[in-house]
Amino acid sequence: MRASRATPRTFELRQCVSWGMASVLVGLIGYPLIEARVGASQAAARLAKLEANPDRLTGDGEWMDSNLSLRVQRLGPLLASWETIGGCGAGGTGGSVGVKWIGHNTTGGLFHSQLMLDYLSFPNGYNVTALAQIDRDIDQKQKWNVGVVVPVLYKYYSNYLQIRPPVAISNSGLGDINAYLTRRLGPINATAITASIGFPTGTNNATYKFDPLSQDKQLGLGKFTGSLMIDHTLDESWGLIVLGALGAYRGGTNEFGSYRAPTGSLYAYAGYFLGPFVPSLGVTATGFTDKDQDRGIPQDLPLFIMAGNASIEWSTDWVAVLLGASFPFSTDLQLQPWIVALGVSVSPF
Amino acid sequence: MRPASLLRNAWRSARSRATAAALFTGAFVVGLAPPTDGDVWWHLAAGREILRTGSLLRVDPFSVSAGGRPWVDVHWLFQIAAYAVFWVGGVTALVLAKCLLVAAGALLLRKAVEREAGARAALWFATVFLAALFAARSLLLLRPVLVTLALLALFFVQLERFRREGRWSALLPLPLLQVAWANCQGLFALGPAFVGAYLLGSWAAARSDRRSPTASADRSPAQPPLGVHRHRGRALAVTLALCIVACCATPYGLRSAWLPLELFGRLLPGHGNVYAANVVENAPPLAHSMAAPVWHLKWFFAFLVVSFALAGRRVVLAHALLAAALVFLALLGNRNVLLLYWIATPIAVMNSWRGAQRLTALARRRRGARIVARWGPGAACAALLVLLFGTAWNEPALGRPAPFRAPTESARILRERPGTGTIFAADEYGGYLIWNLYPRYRPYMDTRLVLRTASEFAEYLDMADHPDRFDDFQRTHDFAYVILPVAYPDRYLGLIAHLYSSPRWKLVFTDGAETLFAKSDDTGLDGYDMGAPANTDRVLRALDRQFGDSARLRDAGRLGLATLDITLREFGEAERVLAPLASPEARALRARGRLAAGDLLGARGLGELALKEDQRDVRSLNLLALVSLRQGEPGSALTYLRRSLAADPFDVEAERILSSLEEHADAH
Repeated sequence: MRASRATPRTFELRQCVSWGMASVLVGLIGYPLIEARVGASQAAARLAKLEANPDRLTGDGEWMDSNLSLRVQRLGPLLASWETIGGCGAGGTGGSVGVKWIGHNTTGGLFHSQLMLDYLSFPNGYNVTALAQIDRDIDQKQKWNVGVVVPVLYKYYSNYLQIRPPVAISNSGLGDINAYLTRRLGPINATAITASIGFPTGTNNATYKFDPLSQDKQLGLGKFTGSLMIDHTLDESWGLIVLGALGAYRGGTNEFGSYRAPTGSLYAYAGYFLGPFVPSLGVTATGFTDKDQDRGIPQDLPLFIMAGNASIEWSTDWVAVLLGASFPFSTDLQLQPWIVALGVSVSPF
Repeated sequence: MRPASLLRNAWRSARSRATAAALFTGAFVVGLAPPTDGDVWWHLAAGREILRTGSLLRVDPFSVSAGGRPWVDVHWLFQIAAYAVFWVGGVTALVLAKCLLVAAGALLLRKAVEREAGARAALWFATVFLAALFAARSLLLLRPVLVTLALLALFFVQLERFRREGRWSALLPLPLLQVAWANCQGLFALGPAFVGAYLLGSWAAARSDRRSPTASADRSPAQPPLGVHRHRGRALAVTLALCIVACCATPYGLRSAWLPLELFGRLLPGHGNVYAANVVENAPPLAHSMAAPVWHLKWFFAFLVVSFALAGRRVVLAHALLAAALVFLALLGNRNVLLLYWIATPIAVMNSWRGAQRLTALARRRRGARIVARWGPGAACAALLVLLFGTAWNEPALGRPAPFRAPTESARILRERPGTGTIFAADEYGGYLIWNLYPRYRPYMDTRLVLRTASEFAEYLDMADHPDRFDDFQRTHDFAYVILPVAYPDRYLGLIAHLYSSPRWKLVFTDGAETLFAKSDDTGLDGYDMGAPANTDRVLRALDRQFGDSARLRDAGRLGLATLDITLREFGEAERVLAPLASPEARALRARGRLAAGDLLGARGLGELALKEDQRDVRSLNLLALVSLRQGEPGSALTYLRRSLAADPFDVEAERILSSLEEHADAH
C-alpha cells in the first residue's frame, strides 16, 4: 500500500495494465496444473467408490472390450471434456452494491471463479476495483455454497488538496477480503440467502506527507464488516427476473473516528435471453441510516440513492463475460459517481 | 568519419543483415512440409472452377450435403492465386509460396521490432520468433491463414510506424490492404480490430492529456506534446471507419462481413457446439483432454508474463490490448495459437528489451554472464536453424500430400474408372476427392462446415459413431463408394468393420491408411479378403515401394494395416504384419489384438512386459485392467486403472473404462 505524489496518470494505468496482463497469464499457466490435480483426485474418488464394492463388477468382462482403442500412438483424446454447465441464475459478488451479474453466468464446474473490474468515475478521479471471487458448492444438490472475494483497489485523485498546482495522489493495494456462505432454497434453488463477513485486510491509515488520507481514499475501514443478502430468481421462458434485498453493516466507527453507516438496498432486475447474450436492466434503491464521517466530520453524501443499471452478458458453457454500468442518482436528481464494470466468469473442471 | 566508427558501423550493418538473413531462412525452412490439411484441395478446386467458368462461386457445386446452397466464398481471391501458383509449379510451388509468405511476414515484424527496440533486439526477436514458429509448425498450414499472417504483419508494422512517427501516410495503405484481406479469408475482421486497439490506446492517452494535472511545461521530453493523441485518434478513427467499409467491399457484400461472427460462434467451446467439440483444431489448447495438447503454450505465456512484468510503465496500451485479444482467441481454439505467436512475439520482445538489457547490464559483472549475453542469442539462433534444417530434411517429398492424410490411391482408382456418382467419405477426405474427382463424383461431406448446419454435421458424425445407422442413410443417398481413413482419426473404424461385414459392400482397396468400399454388385473391382496372406503381402509390398527410403513411414504404414486387420478381426494377419516391428506401439497393438482375439494370457504377457520398461505406460495399464476384468479379477483391474489415471487423469481410454465400470456397477 502506498500513497504518493502520482506521476502522470497514463503511466499508472500502463503499470496496472502490465501487471494485470502478467497476472492473468500466470493464472492461465497454472490452470492446467490445477486441472490435472483436480482430475486425479476426482478419478481417485470414483475408483474408491468402485473399490468399496468390487462384487458388482463380476462377469466375464467382455462387455468392456469396446472401450479399448486401437490407436496406440499417443495422440491422446480427440475431444475437449468441459463439463456442460448452464441453467439460469444470478451470481453474487459478496454483498457489494454496484453492477450485479445478471444472466446465465456459469455453474457446474469444480468451482466457480469470477473476476470483476469496476471503474468508478467521479469529477476529480476514479477508482478501479478488481474483485476476484472464487466459490464452490459444497453439496451435490447445490444448496450450500461457500466463497471468498478478494478485492484489489486502485484509487486515483487528480487534485487531492484542491490547490494549484494540483497534487495528484493514488492509493492502491488489497481491500477488505470477504468470505461468504450461501444457502439456496426451493425445489430449483430459486431463492438464495447469503451471509458475508468482511475482514479488515485493507489498510485504513495511508498518509500523504504525514497527513492521513480521508476515509474514502483509504482501502478499508480497519473494522470487520458484514452483510446479509436475499435473492429470488424467477426463471421465465423469455428471460429471468431477479428480486432481492441487501442489508450491510459497514464497520461502524474506527480508531480515527471515521464512520461508515449501515445500509439497506432493494433491487430488481430483468434479463432477456437473446441466444448467448442476456441484456438486462435493473433498478436499485439504497438507503443509509446516517451520513458517513471522516475523522468525525459528517460527509456531504446523500442518504438515499436510486440507481439505474444496465448490463449485457455473453456466455458459453464454461465462460461468461459481463459488461455493465450503474448510474446512481440522489433524490435531487444529481448523478453520483457512476460505475462501469467488466466481468469474466469461468467454471472449470 | 574515423576508421573506428566506420568499422563499428560496418560491423553493425553486417550483424543486422545476418540477423535478417537468419530470420528469413529460418522462417522459410520452418514451413517446408508437404500439405497435411484437407482444406487446400477444395480451395484449389474452387480456384480452378472460378477460372474455368469465369465467374465466382455463389452456390456450392462440389458436395452432396450442401450442393446448390448459397456459399459466401470469401476466399475466392486466395483460391485463384493458389490455383495459379499450382498451375505454374504444382504442390511444391504452393509449399514454397507458403514459405515465402511466412518469411516475408517475419521480416516485416522484425522491422517493427528494430524500429522500436534497436538492432540488437532484432536478434533476440529472431531467436524467439523462430522457436515459437517451430513449436507451432503443425498449425502452419497451406491455407488462407497465410495471407492473414502476412497482412497482420503489414498492419502491425504500419500501425507501429504511425504510433512512433504520427504520419498519416502510414495509415493510408491499410484500407486498401483490408479490401484484399476481406476477399481472402474470414479472419479479415482482425484488421479493424488491430486499428481499433491502437485507437483505444490513443484515446486513453488523449484522455490522460485532458485530465493530467501536469502542465505542458512539466512534461518529459519523451512524452508527445499535448493534443497530439487527440489528432492521432482522429486519424485512427477515420482509418478504422474505412477499414470497416472495406470489409464489405467483396462480391458478397454484407454477407461476407457477417461471416467472421458466424465462424467465431463455431469456435466457442462447449458440448452444445458440435463444431467446437468435434473439430480438433477448434478445441481449447489448455484442455488436458484434447488430442494434441499445445504443450508449448504455457511456456509462451510465461514469456509474455516476463515481458509484461519487465515492461511496467513502458507498456504500450495498444500492445496490451492486442496481446489480450490474441490470448483470448488462442484460448478458444488451437488454430489461433499461431496468430498469438505471430504478433505477441514481437510485442513481447518490445516489452522486455529494455528491462532485459538492464538485467543483462547487472549480470555483466560476471565474466560468464558477459559471454552468455554477448554470444547466447546468436548461438541459440544458430542452433535453432540447425534444428529447423534437420526437421525439414526429414520431411517427405513436398510435391505430394503428406503420407496417410489424403485418399490418394482411392481417388486414383476412381479417376481411372468410368462412371459418375456420389461418395460417402470422411470430411477431411472431401476436399481431396473434390479436387480429383469433381464433377464426376461428389463427396457427401467436406471440411467447409460453414455450409452445413449443426444438426447435419451431428448426423454425419453419428454415422461414424453408430455404424448400423449407415444402412438407412445409404438407402436414402445411394452412394456409389465409401472412402474412410484407418489412420488418424480412428473414429471411422467401427463403420469400416460394419461395411466389411456387410453383404452389400466390398472392400476394393486399402493400403492400411485408407479404405475404399464399393457396392458388392460393382463388377469392375475385385474385393479384398483381408484374411488372405496374399493380400497382406501385396499391401506390404506397396508400402515398401512407397516408403522404401523411410523406415519410420514404413513402420507407420504397417501399424495402420495391422490396426485395420484387428478391426476386421483378421488377427492372424495382424500378427504377421506386426512381426518385424519391435516398437512399443507395435507391442501395444499386438497386445490389444490378442485381447480382442481372446488370448488373455498373451495379452497379459505383452502388457506386463511393456510395464517393466515403463511403469507409467497408460496403454498397458488400461489393457491389463481389461484383461483382469476378463479374467474375473475386478480388484486387480481397479488397481491397474488407478495407476493409469494417476499417470494421466485425462486419458480418454481410462476414463471410458471407468465410466463403463460405474454403469455396470449401477446396473448390478
